[in-house]
Amino acid sequence: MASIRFSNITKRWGSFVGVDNLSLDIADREFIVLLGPSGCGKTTSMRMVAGLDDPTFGDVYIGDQRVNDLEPKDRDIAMVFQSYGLYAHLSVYENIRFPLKVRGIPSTEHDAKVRAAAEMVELTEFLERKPKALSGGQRQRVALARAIVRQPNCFLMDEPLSNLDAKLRITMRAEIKHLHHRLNVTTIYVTHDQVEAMTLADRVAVMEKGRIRQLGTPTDIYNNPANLFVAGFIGSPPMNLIDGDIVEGQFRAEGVSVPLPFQGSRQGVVLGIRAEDLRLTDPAHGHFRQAVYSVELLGDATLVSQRFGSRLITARADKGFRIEMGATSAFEAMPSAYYLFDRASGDRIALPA
Amino acid sequence: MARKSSRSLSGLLAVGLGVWVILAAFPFLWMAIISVRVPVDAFSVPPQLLAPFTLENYYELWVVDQFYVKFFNSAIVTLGVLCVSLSIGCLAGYALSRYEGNLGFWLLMVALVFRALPHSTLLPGYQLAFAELGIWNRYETLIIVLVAINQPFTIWMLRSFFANIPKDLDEAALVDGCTRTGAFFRVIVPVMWPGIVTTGLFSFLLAYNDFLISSQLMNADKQTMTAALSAYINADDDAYKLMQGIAGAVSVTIPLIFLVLFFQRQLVSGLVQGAVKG
Amino acid sequence: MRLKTLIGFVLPSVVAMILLIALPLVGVIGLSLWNSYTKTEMVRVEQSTPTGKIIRTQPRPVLDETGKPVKVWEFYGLKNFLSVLDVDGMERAFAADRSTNPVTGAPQSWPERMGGVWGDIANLSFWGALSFTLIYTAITTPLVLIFGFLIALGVHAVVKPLKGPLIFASLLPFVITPVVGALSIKWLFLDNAVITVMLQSLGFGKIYFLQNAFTTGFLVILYGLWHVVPFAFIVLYAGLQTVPQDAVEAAVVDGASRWQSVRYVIMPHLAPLFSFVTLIHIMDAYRVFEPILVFSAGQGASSLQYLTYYLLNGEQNFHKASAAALLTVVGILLLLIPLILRTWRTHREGA
Repeated sequence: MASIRFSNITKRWGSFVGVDNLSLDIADREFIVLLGPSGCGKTTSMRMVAGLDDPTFGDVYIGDQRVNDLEPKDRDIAMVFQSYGLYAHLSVYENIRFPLKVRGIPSTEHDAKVRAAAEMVELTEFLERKPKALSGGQRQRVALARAIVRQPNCFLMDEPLSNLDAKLRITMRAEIKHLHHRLNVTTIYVTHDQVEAMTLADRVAVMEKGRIRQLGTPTDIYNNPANLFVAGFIGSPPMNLIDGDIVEGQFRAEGVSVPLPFQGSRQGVVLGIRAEDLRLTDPAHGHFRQAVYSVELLGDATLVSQRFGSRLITARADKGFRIEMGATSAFEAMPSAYYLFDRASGDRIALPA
Repeated sequence: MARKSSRSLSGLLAVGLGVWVILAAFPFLWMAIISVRVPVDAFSVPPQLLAPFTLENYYELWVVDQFYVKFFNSAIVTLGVLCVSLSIGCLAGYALSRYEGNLGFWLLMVALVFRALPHSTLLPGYQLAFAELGIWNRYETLIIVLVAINQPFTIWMLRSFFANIPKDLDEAALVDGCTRTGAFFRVIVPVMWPGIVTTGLFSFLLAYNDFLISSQLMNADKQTMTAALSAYINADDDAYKLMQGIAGAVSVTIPLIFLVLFFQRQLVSGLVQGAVKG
Repeated sequence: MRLKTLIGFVLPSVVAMILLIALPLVGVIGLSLWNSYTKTEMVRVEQSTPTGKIIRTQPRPVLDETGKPVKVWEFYGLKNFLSVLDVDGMERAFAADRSTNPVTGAPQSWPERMGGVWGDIANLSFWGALSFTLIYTAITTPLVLIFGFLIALGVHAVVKPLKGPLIFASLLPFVITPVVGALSIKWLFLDNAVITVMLQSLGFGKIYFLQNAFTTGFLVILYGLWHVVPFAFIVLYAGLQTVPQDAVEAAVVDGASRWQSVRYVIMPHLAPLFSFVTLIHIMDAYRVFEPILVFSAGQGASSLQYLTYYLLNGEQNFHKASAAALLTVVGILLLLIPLILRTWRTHREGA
């Protein structure tokens, strides 16, 4: 069990900066998710904890120990790889046993440990098979079992669910959550899927271009996005973002005028409203009035979109709601649901109370 | 393609491929046919399709001229080259497939230049050095020279095979508690055999087919079969010697025919590997 | 992977290449700049003959304390290179009076005179080797690509059971030991061999294939095609398997003829393979050796590799051979450096 600390980590390949001066403290037993689009440096950050990549500058600590110069094997970590990294020439049993064998754990203990780990991920009946005779979900479980067969300092999981189909992903997500609850080991989990991040994490670090853009609990980053990037990345459908200016307490954009709950003016802002905070209203006095551009039935809700310039504005309506495409519609939201951002810096603008 | 070939096109196809097969195989076939004839029949005017059969040429070559010595020389040299070349080539090819820095790139580029060098460019250097060191005419010398000049090709080919083995595999082993060397032997070696077989075939061909180096570095008693053929190259005026040369050439060819027969798929995949990655 | 690990893994391979490729090359550079000979001294020896004793002076190698002959090394600068390039021979070729035909005495036009200069230069061994290498490359490269591609298309179209035997037959000329392959062709073209005799009976007259420069050059090229076309075929055939079937089908749906789908869908897809085969073939053209040796073609059709071999074994001058070897290396580098720089750029962008 250990805490993990990134201290001013930078990773470069030639002139390309993969991770840019990253600092992050991960508490003992915490489940932290590194979330971001591909190429944001999340996997690289995790691989530097494993020792599979070396930081160009900065230090990585596991517990109180600086591990930069330690080989992966000496860091006492376990990792689940995106494509599992199963040893094709070994049976499931031998795959799970491998870490015990190479670490010189007395062979009398192997069988019990392997079986315990296999049982935890419900693999007991497949122990004699070779990995190629397993389904994707089963292979995923072998990778998990291999990670939990000994008690490492921490688990590292690199997009472990991305190669599974949608249905299996949901089941495995729940199993990973359950395993963490049961084993209570510090876990770093890398994903580009915001739903995985929201459901699994104690804290989420949203990353972009090698930097952490926001660090917080899932509720926190959803309700209080610190900047445009996080606002646009988290949420499905993504937050509606409209470029405009504030003129004397009114947000103005082409064809839109929204009264704000405060006075003052400001150039170059972005107004953000989540789809579920927008409701359809009487075309006479909504703030966003346009013909309906598209209607999408999701089953549990209906998405209605309008088009402003090149942007779509989407409202999430009740599942029973119906409207014709092309009909006039109007959206509005409570002022408390408004998010304002500075367009140039992308930072959140605090609303005066 | 679900299109009907016109009759003339498929006729053209059959004729074209037929001509190609005859062109490709005829020199072998004719060589094999005349190798079991007496000289008068082998080079008769007009040429005969059928002529009395004799193993005289083979007897003269293998028993009287002791060609079997050359056969053993070939076996020693080829096997030696194969083992050494693959062992050191595997290590280098694996590391080059996993290392991301610039040094790896430049090593490969230098290897590419070395691969393109005609072997004769190195011969003056060898003559000077080996004579000074007194290691002329030794199996070890020939083996290590052939290993070295085949290394560039070997590491390029093995690197591309290793690059196709997912990195996850050895990284999982590293995290599970292996050193790099341990990871290589425990999880890479067990899955690398198809690549080794294919690369091994080409290493075999390079060593077995080498004429220049072997004929330059070795005296007659230690020459490989291939190099030993040099004695028969200009024997056109001595009909009996010429016939022995023909028997020798057929003898050298037979192992290759088996090689192609058994390893056709690996040979093709090796060529493709080189092409796709090169 | 860390640098230290990389070095550990590549060490045996790199040491082998340094000791047996890089160092010999450095040695070759040294050899090319120097000349060496065995030191001799004139000694007076007494000989008894039936007519009485006579005293003669004759040369004898000087021995050192250990009894070995003393070798004298002399710095030669670029002289070996000038000698390989045969600068004198070129001067003669340009200086010669070509206003009249040396045989008939008839006045010559300018193109004829240029032809005479060219002919004389091509007779110098280095320039002859270089020009034959260029001719060989220029003739065989397109033919290798065309035949290789046609055979690949043919085998691709043929029914499945025939593919294996066709590939088998095609692989043989490729894997064959070059000396054996060249010999097997030579034995078809000896003065009383099957093809020569058959051509004669077909009315082409008696052709002495191995007796003149033109026909031996032809045989070298023929062997080159026979040996390399299978390589092009296999590579292109494998390439054909990877042509995306939906692209071909889309072309068919769009109304392309058979030729058009080959020209506009398949050939662009195979373009990298065409350049790969071309590159390998050009690199190998420098190294043509066995057929030249086997066909005794050295005079009329030679290659740079053969030239080095000849200087080493024929002239026994390994300083001159070194100079020829280095000139070959320079040629290879000229060919490869643009390629390496291009790869370096993509490598850096990719990283």
